[in-house]
Amino acid sequence: MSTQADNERIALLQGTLDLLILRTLVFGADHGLGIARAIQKQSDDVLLVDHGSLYPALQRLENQGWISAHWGVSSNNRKARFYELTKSGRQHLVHETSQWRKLVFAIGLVLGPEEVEG
Amino acid sequence: MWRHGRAQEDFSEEIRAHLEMETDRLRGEGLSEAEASAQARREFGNVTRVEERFYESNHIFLALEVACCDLRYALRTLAKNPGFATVAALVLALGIGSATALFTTVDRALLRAIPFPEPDRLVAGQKSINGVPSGPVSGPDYYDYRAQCKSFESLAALVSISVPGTITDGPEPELARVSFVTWDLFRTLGVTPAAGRPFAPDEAKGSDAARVMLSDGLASRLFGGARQAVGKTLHWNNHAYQIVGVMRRGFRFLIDADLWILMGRDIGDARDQHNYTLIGRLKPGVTLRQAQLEADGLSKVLEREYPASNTGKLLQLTGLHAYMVTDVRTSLLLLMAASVLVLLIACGNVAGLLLARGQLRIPEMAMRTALGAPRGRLVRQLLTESVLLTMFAGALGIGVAYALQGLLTRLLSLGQIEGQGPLLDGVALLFSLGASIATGILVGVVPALRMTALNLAHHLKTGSHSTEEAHSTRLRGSLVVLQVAVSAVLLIGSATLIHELAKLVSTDPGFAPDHVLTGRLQIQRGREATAVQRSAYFASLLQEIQGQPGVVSAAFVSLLPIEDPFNDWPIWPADQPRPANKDAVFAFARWVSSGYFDTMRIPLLRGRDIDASDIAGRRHVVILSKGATEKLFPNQNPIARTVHAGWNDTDYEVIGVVGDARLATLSDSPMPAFYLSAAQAGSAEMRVVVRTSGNPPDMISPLRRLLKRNDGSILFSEPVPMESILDKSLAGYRTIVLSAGVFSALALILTAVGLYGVLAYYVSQRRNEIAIRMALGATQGRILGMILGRGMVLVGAGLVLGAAGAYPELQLIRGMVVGVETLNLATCLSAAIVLCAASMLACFLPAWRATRGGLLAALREE
Repeated sequence: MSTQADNERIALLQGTLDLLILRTLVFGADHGLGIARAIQKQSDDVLLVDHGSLYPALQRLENQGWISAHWGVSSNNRKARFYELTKSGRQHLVHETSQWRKLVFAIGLVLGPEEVEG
Repeated sequence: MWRHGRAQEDFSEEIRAHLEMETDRLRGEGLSEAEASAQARREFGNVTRVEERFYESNHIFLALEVACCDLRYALRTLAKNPGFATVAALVLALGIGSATALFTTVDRALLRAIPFPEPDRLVAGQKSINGVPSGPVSGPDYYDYRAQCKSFESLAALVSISVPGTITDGPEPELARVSFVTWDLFRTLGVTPAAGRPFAPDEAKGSDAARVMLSDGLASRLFGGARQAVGKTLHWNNHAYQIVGVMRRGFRFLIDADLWILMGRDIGDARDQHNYTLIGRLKPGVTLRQAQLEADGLSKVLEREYPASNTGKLLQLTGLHAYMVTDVRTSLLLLMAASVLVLLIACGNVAGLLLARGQLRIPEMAMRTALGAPRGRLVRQLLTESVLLTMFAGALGIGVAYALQGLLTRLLSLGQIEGQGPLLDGVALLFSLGASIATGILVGVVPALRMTALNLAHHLKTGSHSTEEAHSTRLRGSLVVLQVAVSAVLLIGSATLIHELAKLVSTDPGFAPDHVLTGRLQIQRGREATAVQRSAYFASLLQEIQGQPGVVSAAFVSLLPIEDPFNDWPIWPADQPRPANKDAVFAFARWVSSGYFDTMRIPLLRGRDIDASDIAGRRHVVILSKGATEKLFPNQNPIARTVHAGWNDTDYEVIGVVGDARLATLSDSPMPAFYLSAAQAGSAEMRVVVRTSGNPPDMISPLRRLLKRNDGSILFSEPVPMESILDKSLAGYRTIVLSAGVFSALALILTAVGLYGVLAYYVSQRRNEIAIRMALGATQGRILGMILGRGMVLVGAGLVLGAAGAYPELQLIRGMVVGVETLNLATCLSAAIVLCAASMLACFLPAWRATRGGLLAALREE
């Protein structure tokens, strides 16, 4: 059951989650569960994708035309819906990635160098 | 149909696939099927919620779709209970329909602007004496206002009554009514003729302008069309007039007229002869108040200069629209209020029904709430049901309004607004729609809120909802009390109006109107050129009429009672100087032939009637009414005394005194009057009154034949029985009383039905209790008493409330209807009795059925 706090968290990460999904799909088509696992693995288990927000995000990306979907068969012979990046999706990914890096850099400047404790 | 993207099913399948894959993986890690599946679901989160979010994002017109869903559901629910739906719809249709009908009337008469350009700048002027509005303005006063008042762009005038006369241009002489107007009246109003041209300022020369504007009907009849009539000559009352234009079809302004004759510039009246209504157009930017102040200032100046005629006299300015609807305004608004009250009572009934049915649907509501439906959703859906019901009712209501059209047309003709197109137009439909929706919400909101305010756990546990029922029953009881109160108010109002009408109808007019036929006689020009000749001619005519079989008696009079409340003159004893207008006795001046009082059965109290000796050349005689005598010669014998009257110096010797008669209206007390000898005046036109032995209408043809002269020397027109004239004067009041009565009857029926419903429910809830009581020995009477008592408690409370509400209502009616006395206890009591009787009947039926119910059957069902 999603609470108010959950909704806020999702809202903040919405753009970020989209970015991560698109990035994951660069390496090839995958289904929802696979994408979630990949993100988790890639981030060393730091980013745990809420499966409930994954699918709406995928739907959103599909509506925007940045990914396309088709039904297929998974590695263990289960029916699954696979997503892959479209050309405009690829462009969007490049653009958003550079925006993100700029943002992180700017925040880093403001925060100053990391202080060592002790 | 509503989505614009992926199917919901597809999305669900994807979720399912996800869960299966995850389950597989977990099983691979060693969990059992059940455990793996449960864990996978847990990790995912709320599957339903995710699916719902997808649904919402996929359906952009979600709100509309939900509304459609509600609508379909509502239709199904109503269809399941067709009996309830029909009854409720019919009840509401009566309420919505009558409210719609009244609203269109109010709209046409009061809200819509009068059909002139910039109507807000138009004002009507009449005079007021010492603050009391009292009719037309005098000619010289008009000229002064016109010359001096800077507030007006133009100030025109018209004679305040229509003048009948004869047109001789057709195959037969016919009667035509004329409205005398100044050259700029139509220009002030902003009206142009349909054919021809308006009056020009230089045409009104001298005292006889000889120009006329025709009505479309007359132009078509006499000349074959509007265009053909322009430029031709018309002969009215033996004067020739040139036709300058023809007004559009159906045009009417303030008075009924077939043609409008241009008044000459020199209105040769005295300053205290008041014949004109003023119509002005304010200059742009000038307010009515400013104009009124300016006029008041001028009135003060005139008062100083002409104290004899202008003391206490002011020019009172009113917006033209307000002036035109003065008579009907209050009545229409009161009737509108009555129709809304009836609608509210109907709403009360339907709300009560919905509350009762709501009890049956509580399980349904509880279940839906348990399944997660938010309260707002349920309320919205219930409201959709009630609004759908009231929209059906509204549609039926259009039919009711249509049926009421006849009544409405009569109401509209009470005012002076001409009908404009069909009564049920866009405005009516819009109002009906709005009223339906508002009614739906009003009726449905309380039951909806009650049905959904549930203590869920309690209900599901016990399966009973007794507190809910208690609330609901109390609510219904309160509704009934309110209904009774409103009905009481309406009934008391109606009873008062009916009482007043009865008084009016039974008022003694001072003469006997039964078996009297009236008519108008006009001697045509060229015949009987001198006054003496005319008198002689009329005298011989009278003898012929009196000789006719079926005629008991006949006489002439200049103006008829009630029909022509005009010509009130100042009158004073000859040995006194002429008093100022404000001090003078005003009395109706009438010229009569001998035998008038006998024909009209006005009692001769002293002295003698006009007789054959009172002809031209002899001394002038007058007969005073009792009221006039008391004012002029209090406690003295008036016979042989002399009086002066009006604006000439003639001595009139009093030869007799007759009883007072109501010459103006039936509701006011009789005004003083004096009667002069027609033979001594030698007028060319008289009204004839004929007392018949049989039915007055039967006398019309014989009289016509008698008076038809091949030489066309006399015109006989407007044959009307005297009783019809009296009826006509009451017609407007009758319509209002009828409407009020209909509303009250409706209110009473609806309230009785509501009362019945509440008590029937009360009885059905207590069947077991009643059965037990009877088993334990209670008599039928006691049970009856118990139930009736409950009902009458409600009625009693309603009556008390109603009595409180009736007081301000009666004040309103007192303001509206002249002559209503103080609170008439008899009428109030009779209204209360009617209400109680109907209520008792409504209460009695369920009570009776309760006691007849099978005892054992009830106990067995328990």
